[in-house]
Amino acid sequence: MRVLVDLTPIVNGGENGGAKGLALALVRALQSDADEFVVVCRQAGFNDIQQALPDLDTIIVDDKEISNPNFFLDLDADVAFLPFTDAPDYIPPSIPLCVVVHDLLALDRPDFFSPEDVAARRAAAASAVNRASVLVAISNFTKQSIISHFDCDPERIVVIHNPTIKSPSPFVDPLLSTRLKLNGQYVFYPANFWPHKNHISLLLAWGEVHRRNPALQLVLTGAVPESEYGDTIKGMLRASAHRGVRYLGYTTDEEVNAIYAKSIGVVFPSLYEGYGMPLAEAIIAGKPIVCGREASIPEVAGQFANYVDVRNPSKLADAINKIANADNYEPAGNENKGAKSNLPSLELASELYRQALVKACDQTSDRTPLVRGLYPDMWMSKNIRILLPSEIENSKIRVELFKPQHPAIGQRLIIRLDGENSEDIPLDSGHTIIRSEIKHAKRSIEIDAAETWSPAEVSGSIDIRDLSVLIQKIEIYVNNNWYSLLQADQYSQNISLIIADRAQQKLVGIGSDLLELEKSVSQPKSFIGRIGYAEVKMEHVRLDHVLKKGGDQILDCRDWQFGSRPAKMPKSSTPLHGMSIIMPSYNQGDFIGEAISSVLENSCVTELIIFDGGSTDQTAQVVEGFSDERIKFTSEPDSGQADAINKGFLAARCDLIGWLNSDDIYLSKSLDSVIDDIDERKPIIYYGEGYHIDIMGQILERYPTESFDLAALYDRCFICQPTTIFTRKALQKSGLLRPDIRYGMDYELWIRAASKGVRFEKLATEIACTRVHDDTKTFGDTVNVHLEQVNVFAKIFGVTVPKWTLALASVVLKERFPNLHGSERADMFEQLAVWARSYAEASLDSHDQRCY
Amino acid sequence: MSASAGILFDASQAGTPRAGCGELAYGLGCALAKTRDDIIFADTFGSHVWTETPFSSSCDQEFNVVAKFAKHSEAKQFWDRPFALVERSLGYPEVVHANNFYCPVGGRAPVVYTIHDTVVFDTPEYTDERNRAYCAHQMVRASLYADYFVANSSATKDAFLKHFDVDPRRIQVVPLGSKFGWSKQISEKAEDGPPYFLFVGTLEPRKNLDGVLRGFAAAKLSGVVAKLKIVGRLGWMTSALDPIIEALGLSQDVEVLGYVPDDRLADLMGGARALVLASHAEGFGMPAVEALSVGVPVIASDIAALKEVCGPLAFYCDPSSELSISNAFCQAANLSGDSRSDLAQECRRRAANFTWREAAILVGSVYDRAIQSDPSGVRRGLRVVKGDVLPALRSRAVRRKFWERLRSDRSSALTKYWERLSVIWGGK
Repeated sequence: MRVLVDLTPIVNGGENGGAKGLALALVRALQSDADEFVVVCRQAGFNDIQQALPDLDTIIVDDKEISNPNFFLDLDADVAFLPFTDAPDYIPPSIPLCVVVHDLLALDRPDFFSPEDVAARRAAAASAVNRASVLVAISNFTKQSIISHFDCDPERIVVIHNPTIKSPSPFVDPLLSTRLKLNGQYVFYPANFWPHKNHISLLLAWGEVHRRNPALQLVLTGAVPESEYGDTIKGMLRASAHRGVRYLGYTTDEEVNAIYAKSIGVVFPSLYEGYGMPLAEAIIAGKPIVCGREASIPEVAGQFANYVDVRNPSKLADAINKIANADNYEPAGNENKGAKSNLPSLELASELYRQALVKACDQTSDRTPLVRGLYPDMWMSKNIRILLPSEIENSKIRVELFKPQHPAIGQRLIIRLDGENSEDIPLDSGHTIIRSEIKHAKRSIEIDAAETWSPAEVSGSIDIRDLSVLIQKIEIYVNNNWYSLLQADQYSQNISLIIADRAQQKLVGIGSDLLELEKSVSQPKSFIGRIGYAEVKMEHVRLDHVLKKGGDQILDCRDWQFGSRPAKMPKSSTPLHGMSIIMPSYNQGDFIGEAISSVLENSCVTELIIFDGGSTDQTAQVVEGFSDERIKFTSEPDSGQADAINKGFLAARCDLIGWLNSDDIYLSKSLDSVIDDIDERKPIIYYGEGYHIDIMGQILERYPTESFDLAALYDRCFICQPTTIFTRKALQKSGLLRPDIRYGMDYELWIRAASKGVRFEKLATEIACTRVHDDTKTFGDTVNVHLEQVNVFAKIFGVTVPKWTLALASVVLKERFPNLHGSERADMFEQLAVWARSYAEASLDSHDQRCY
Repeated sequence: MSASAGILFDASQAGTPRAGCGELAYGLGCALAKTRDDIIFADTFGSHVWTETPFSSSCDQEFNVVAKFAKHSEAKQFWDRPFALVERSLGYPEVVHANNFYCPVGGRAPVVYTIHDTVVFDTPEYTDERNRAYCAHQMVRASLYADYFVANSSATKDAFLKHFDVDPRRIQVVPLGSKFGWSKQISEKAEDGPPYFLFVGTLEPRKNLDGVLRGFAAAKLSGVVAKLKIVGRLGWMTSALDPIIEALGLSQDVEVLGYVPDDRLADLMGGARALVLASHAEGFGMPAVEALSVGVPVIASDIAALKEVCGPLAFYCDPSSELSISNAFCQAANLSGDSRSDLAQECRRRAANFTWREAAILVGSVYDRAIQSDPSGVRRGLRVVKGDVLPALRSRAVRRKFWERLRSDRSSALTKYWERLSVIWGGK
């Protein structure tokens, strides 16, 4: 017999809990000359498996191998052994399965889980129950539980009690004992702090125990989960630390053995167990047990336990006190050490497992075809593949499906047999049944959709999958019978949130349970949250989607890239006296005339250099209308405003340079009035007072300028650009404008210049006006302006400025969520603020020192 | 009238039909709203409790009701957020009063937590397991994080202190009132019919209906001539009543009425020889007070809570003994007409001690304590501008430290809070 053992769920360390130790011990014990074992595992679990099973043939698989249907076929196994409660669909249906079912906690006590967890665990258990030839239940209780939840033939379920793999011995290494401080009397409860382990009752009972028996300690091991329940437990542990409650955290097998050995008893208040290994371990260690009668517990503890209602703290306390009081208690373990418990040895258990594998191997009749590639809510992506356990001939297939009505949604399905095209079927919208003849198929039948669509694109849904049609039912005709492979049921309806208005056959939007997409919301770069019931957690998804829909490249801060250092300003060989004014222009014919006259009014201006980006309006005529020889007009295509300005800077021949956009104006002779206050020999950028004006030239407001302070400059741009006058030395020190910044190139220059030691001096004079009009770049596209600003700060200067991230959040709120009010608006702002901050922080990761 | 900015009062179970917890929330809430103007009713509270007929659908239109949701999923979405955000959405109430076992943690306002009973710890066998696990967890959270407690009886307070290490001074005992008002007269119509006893309560094992029926059957055998009327909705873990009634031969003598609206219940109660409340466990025993208020004595189990309510005006029995219950029935049935009317007088007089008005005053004093004891002295001076949220600062000491630092040092360590905060300081 060649046995494929799937240990892919195993990860190194303690995360898998008890099932991992059991699986490894069983496989070790199962090895024999007669049978061959092939173990597949993930890289993440390889070390531990290699250590436990050094002699075995272990294959590390990754997603590529798992998705290759032939990989597992080529392993040529007679049977697959799956020690974790799951029957993954990558194992082909021609291999019979033997699956171990530990417990069905999530189905028996769904109140302890989130709906998503219940759905996922139910799906795993259902696939195990449906596909396995033999199910191994680790207790009669688990067997009953399977039968109660699934329509499953009891004959297929074999009960094999867990063997004990720890061997608590009375001899304890004194060093270990000292390290763990195992002195004095204590009772022991080894269990992770899951809600069903009922630590709450135990810790409440401990108050009473401690009152009556102050010397007695309680030793707890295991992990405290990160959840509301875990927080409560931590609070309780803190509050009861002074009452002799000791929490030791995660412990090794050796340590656990030592704790058992020195304890006076084991208390096991669990409300649910598939088996309850600690009970078996306590029996072997000969320790008295206090436990309840829930689930599998009486089956394992048998006559060795003191049973009590573990939900009642007072009664639990009484029972613990009873075993603690040595005078009254006759240790059950001692008298029972020789007694027969029904717990199997490892040898016996492995023999039973071998028989189960043989049984699975022999069972060939009821192996079912396996449908792969379907989402759990029955939506089909590009294709699905029906894997056949054996060849079929002259068969038929019938697929019942629903195709939403939308022009973007595909029109055809293609049926393939063993990869060969067989039939091309046109599709109608709405509910349809398609049929196809199957002459001969060896391994697989595939159904391909010619086109796929994404609900996110089609309808603005949060669902970003590529989908084709919604499958309702797949039936196949074999041996003169229609055999149902798959049927949409209550369950699949429950997990899907289909918002499509089926009655009208109109697509409103689709969202579906998609556990695979559950990427951590805490990762700032990928805001794909959980899609499913938990709408709370979808906020980020929705948010992102809305942002994406707006057309901004907002999702990925990598979209903002800044090149290398800005160009340098050369020295002027023969500087002219006076001042050069540079004026970038592009299609501002309505305003450029006014701008030019406001420059030429000033007698200190030696040259006016206009770089026009090839305007198509009356700009050229307007400029030609000025017969002033100081004007140097060049019109040629450029790569943006910054490029035009840089050209101007390079062409300027004076040591004083002003920069006036072609829609801004200088106030009357303002340059003449300040030229005497300016020192052209020092690296200084001068700026003065300015005004905002509208398209009619009416003054709107004073520009909010301030005297210079670099720290304040990070928060707000208080320098009014048209009022600035550069000395050549300042530009040589700071460098020119960055052509890769689209909106705030001046702001970046101020900060860069100031950081590089250029002095800024504020003049009290009112110098210029800057025009605000509807299509001015910086007001038409506010979200992108702010995005760029945040990225400039992060990537070039390596800082995040709270004010600007908040500003980003507020413009997104204004632009994208104009209809929110009241607390909804505040909530959204809250989310956006968090989002904006993580956006900025993510952007910070690609801060490049060399940029700056 | 008080001047606080708002008390968030959990009325999630105060919609009709009401069980005991709901009666408390309804009676207390309405009385509070009459004595104070700062009561804000929460139509939902936490994501666990949900009803299709919430408080807002039946209450006085004048009341200020928040957190109204049409669907459970919406309520879940609202409440399953960090409580600090919920608080903000509700406009930062100054006190949060929880009545449905859910204990909010992580908010700013002090939490007043109502302890209804400790059944989930003392007699867990009488609760549905799912509910038990939830309530036990929430009560533990309350013991760790709530600021003040309201217990409906000294018995409940003592039972709570038995399990939890909580300063007893933080627990205020508030005896509850009767929804019938104590002056209600026995209706003439009810007097005319044959004598009967009345059982009122959700039909669940804790109410010991089984024991009551057996005791009643035994009393019939010893010559008691009366009927037994059973009022209440079906709860959990009760098999159908009819087979038991039939098996005991009581088909002619027991009448199962199901749910009965309040006005009719008052008449029914007023006409009864005695109310039967032989529960295994009660936190307060609201039907007992209601019976006393209409001048009707009680056949009560001899548990601490009922002794506290009924004093000498009950026929006590051991709820686990059929014989004892039967004796109580006999005593109640054998009262002469004169002694009955004397007893009725005394019942009403005793019931006058239990009013919702008194309860509201006591609970109001807890609110005032909670508001005044805010040691930072800052919370009340704080005005929230917009779009902010405070970090969840639970411990008073931490909270104080936080505010002090915020006042003295706005720049360094707290920058990250300032990103999300914009607050204006009131007062000084």
